[in-house]
Amino acid sequence: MSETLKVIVERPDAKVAILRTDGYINNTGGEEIARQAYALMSGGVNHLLLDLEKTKIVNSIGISILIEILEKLLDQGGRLAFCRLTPTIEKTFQIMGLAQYARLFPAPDTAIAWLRGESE
Amino acid sequence: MRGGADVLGAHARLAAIDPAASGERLLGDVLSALIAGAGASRGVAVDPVHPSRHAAVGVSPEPAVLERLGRHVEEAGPSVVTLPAELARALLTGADGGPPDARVLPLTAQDETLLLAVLDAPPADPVSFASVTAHAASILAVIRMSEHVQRADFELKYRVWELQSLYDVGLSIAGTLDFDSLADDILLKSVSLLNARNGTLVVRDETREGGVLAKHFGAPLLDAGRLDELPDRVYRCNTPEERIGALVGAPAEKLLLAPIAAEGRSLGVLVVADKENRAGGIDDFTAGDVRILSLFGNQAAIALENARLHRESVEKERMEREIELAASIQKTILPASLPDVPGLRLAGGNRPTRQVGGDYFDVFPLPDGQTAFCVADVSGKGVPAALLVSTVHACLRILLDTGIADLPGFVGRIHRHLLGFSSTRKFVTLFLAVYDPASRRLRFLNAGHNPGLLLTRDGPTLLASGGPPIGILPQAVYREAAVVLAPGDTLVLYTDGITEAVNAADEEFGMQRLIALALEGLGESPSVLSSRIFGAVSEFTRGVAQYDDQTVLIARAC
Repeated sequence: MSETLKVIVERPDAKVAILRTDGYINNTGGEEIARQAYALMSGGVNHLLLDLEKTKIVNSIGISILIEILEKLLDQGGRLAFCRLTPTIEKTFQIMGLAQYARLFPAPDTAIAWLRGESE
Repeated sequence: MRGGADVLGAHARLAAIDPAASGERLLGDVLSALIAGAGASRGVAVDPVHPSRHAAVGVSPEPAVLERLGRHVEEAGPSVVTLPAELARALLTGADGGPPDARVLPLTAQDETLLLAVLDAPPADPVSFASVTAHAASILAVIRMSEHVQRADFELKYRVWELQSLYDVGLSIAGTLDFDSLADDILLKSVSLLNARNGTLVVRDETREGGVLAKHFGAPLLDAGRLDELPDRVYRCNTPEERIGALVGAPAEKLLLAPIAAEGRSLGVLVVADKENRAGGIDDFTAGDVRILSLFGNQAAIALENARLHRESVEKERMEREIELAASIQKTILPASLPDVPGLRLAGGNRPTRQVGGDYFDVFPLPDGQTAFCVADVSGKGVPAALLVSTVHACLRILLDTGIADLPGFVGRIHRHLLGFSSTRKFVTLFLAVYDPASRRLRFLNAGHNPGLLLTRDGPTLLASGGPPIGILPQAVYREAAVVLAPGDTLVLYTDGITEAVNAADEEFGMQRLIALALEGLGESPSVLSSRIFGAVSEFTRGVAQYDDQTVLIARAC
């Protein structure tokens, strides 16, 4: 298990970006996600997908940072989606309220379709 | 040049602030309203609760000055109401130099500083400006209250998350016996809920190489071989001075340890390290953290105990099945009754122990009127021993058809077969005898077995001649011996389950008791003597569990 988060950014199109995480979403990991997300947002990308396939652990500080990113995205009329969460992380997001304003998907394809407005 | 105060404009700006606004955008909006209401031209604002959050309008302070501002506010605390005049001027220093009259303006409500602003001029109309500051303070107070509510909401959700995690681990414990995955789950949940950076879980596990199971998240915090050097209670190390035993040298700043114990036995330990905060620093572990980690430690103990009990239950079931199988093999091999043979009266029996050993006895009437009989004892217990008995039985049956004139050659063939067959250092002790009623000659070969007890009118004699146990020494040499039996002479063959039967005082039944019994029973039939021996051994052991089968075979010359 890795405790240091790595983020890989992919741009399937001009409106949507995928951030693939690998590691612990804690303060350091959350800051790294925020850094990448804010850079994309300042470039006009307001539809973000966080693919957590390789993340097995998240703490409350990481969640508060994800909530900050979500708030900023919503302020700018954007959308945030998560996909490929472990059952534990999915349950945590439900409890902590992240799933109230962001959408959780089992697979990237359906998440991207939702971000593009192709599905509800 | 100083512009005029726009009090109405300031109120309009404040009224336009989004109640959901936060952070630097909010600071900037409020600061703009204050500048307009005061008739100032530039200003800087800082959030006393988050000193790194600031906004500047009409000026771009040097990063070093902003850093000083943040440091000063942090040191002064969230109730800060003023700034050093030199710092206030430095914040507003622009291309035209610092303003001579920098004003520090705290916005407060109920003794709480909501915002600290520095403006480059005093308000042009202090009375009207007071309404602007009151309006701004009320908005900030509402937003601050909203933040409090949000934080409380987050805290509440966090408690639900904590309870849910403990509940989930409880469910997992009930639903799986795979401690390995449970240990991963418990470790990850502990690290996650305590905002720790690292974690280590180590438990004693004799079924694993090295005797321990160690799980780490991040750098290992403990040497798994030093479990004995850890406190047996929940232990917090928030300072280097608190490090003891195996915690000295752990690669972390602060540590929290919970023992994993059941019924007073230490099973292992769960340790987490370095509880991080939002500012990137490391906080002390609190009493609440101790409570959470203790609960996870207790759950790990329950999971371990469950896994152990399950392992024991499976092992017990396996052993019982094996015993049943071994007993069934043994039952099919041992003779149900002994045949009538020329010149001998035979009696005997076998009493298996609960573990089912490898005793064997048999009688083979030969076509030429002779009779072969044997007692054997194979090493080991259970199914492996029963299979070896089966092999010896098959060898004897098959080889007897080829003749038994040469006893050492006969036993040597079985010996060589077992050397090739038995790769697990199993061996057999065997007393094999052949009686010829015509010559009254008893030939025998004792391959490492208990000496045969021959009772004649001259007294008891022990028949030990033969060689080592078969199936163990490749170079073993066997030799036979012979005696001539007079009518009434009695040969008692037995296994060590008879002579080594133990009583509650851990005394063995012994050879002397067997000899005395045999001498007393000379006037009785072989079957009565056999029963008398089994009865005496039972009387001696008085219910103490025995670990070796007991076998007796008696041959009396007619």
